[in-house]
Amino acid sequence: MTLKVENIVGGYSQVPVLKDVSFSVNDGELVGLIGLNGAGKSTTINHIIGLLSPFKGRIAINGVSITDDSEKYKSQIAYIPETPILYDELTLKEHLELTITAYGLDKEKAWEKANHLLEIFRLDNKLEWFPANFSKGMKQKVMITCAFMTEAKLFIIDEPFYGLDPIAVHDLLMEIENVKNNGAAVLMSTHVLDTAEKYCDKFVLLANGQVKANGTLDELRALNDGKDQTLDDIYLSLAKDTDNG
Amino acid sequence: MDKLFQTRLKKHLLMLMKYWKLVFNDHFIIALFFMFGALAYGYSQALNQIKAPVWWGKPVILVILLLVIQLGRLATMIEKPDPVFLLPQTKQINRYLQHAKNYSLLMAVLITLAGVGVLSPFMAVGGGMKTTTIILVAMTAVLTKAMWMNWKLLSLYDRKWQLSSSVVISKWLAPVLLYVVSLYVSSVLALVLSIIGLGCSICLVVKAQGIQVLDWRTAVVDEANRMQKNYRFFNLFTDVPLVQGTVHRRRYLDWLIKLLGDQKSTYGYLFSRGLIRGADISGLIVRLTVVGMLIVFFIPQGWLNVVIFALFIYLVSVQLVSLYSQFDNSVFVYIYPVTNIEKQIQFKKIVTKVLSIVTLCLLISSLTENPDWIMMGIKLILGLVEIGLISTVYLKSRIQSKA
Repeated sequence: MTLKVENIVGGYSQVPVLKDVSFSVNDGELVGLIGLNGAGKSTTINHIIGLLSPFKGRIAINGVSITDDSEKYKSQIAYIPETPILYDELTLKEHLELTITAYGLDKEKAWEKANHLLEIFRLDNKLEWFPANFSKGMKQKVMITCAFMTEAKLFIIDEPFYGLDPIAVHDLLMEIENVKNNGAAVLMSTHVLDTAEKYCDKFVLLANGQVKANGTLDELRALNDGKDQTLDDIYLSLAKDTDNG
Repeated sequence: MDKLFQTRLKKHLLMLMKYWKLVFNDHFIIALFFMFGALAYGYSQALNQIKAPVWWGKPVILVILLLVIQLGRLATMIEKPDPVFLLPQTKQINRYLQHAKNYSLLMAVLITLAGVGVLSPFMAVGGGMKTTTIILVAMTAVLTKAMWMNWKLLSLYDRKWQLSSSVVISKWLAPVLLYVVSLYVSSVLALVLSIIGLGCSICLVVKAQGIQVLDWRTAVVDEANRMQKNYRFFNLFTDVPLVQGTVHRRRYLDWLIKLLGDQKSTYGYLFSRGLIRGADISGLIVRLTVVGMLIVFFIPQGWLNVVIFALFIYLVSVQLVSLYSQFDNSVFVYIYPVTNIEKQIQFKKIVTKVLSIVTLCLLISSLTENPDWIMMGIKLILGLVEIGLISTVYLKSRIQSKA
């Protein structure tokens, strides 16, 4: 049981955006966090990475919550934000070095991983550049490289596909597969439902700050009593229910 | 278009007023007033020393006039979305720019007149010029500035005028010629020449506006640069959110990065790079240190010198405060498994190191031919105590008041 989110009530101001959200992500699992704009995906992620603290409830990674031991909690997370966030002052190489320093990684091993990723993403000849001047897709590749060179137990990926070319999307999915096989858990929020359907092991469907459904595709289908429904269909019908309800 | 210009101008003036108000509230401005007062006093004292026209009088006047004419730029107030939203109005924008030029010219003429006004006592004494000549020079200066403004406007239409060679000719060489004629040959002839020059520039602008369309890209970039300079000036006194300093690699300073920050610590790594590669804080510190060194060097060794020495260390430390929060808007400093305590320790380290270097520079500039070693000792001890106090008590309170 890697990530455990229990009865989270939370949001930005006094008004709760998330109303009693609970789900879990197990070792070696890729869980898709699905929801419309404003459903609470990013808010959920912000709570998990510790940017927001919940009003109620508890979030734990391998049994440790951020209030128990924030350093231990944070050292288990690698995060890829929706919009790439890079330091203006640092070159690509220095971003990687900083990641090594911040997570206290083994230099040789981390560089080995990083070089592999840089090569895949065709960034290996840009080590001395300032990535702040890169295009959106290339920045995103830098974020992916920084995240996947760590030895995190939990990867949090927010809308990873925008701005990436099809090859990069494929490579990213391969990387996710890779860390999954090494026992890490991955939580990915996305709107790209057909990709999610193909690659995710489980889904958490959010609407209006509540978990509407939670489980494998078959479990969701059973809930919605439809045999051959796609994730798209299930989501649309659930979203409609919420609107009417 | 007339209305658009009016609203833009109003917005611009309001913005300037807001910042000027903040500037005059700052304690730093008090120091500046003292400096200006000292300068004015020094100027009047120096004028008393000069009895007859001196050989270097006119060259100095020439150089100062040339520098004064570079002040006051073309404020177009064109904004970034304009090329998209005003594109259908590309022809009508000429009218808008005419307003903008008039406004800019008014400001520039005031600056030019003020410059000539301040310079006129020296022109009379050091340059041995008659009052009528000074007035003629002042008129030439105003017309030259008007011409200067037209060249600038022209460059927004015609790419030929954006070349650095034409910029040098129009903004530097033409004024040099006019001023040389005015000061050395005949001030009447120079006035006539500047009228002709102004006429030519107006014709060229009208012609360019007739056949060419505004180079939007250049206009936007120029205006953004101009505003950036304004903001940077205000940023000396107060926090301007719109200032985004450009980052430079500065590979030749990599040794300094290693010296300043603990490279094995996340924050040491970030702070040292942020400080050295960002333009704002490091530029300010370098400038302050150089000014401080000059003042400490020129003021006679004594207690006033010691006070100024201590004051400059404090001023540098004030500039360093904003480094502490420079990385706070990056989500990653929250996600990295690093503690706030580490951040504070590393910040204290880098501040201590920077202030030590500044103190050392100020001490070196205190050295004279016959150093007063007791005074130097006092300064050294004072500097060390001050650094100690700043890095513990002062910065802690500043950081807490920010948080």
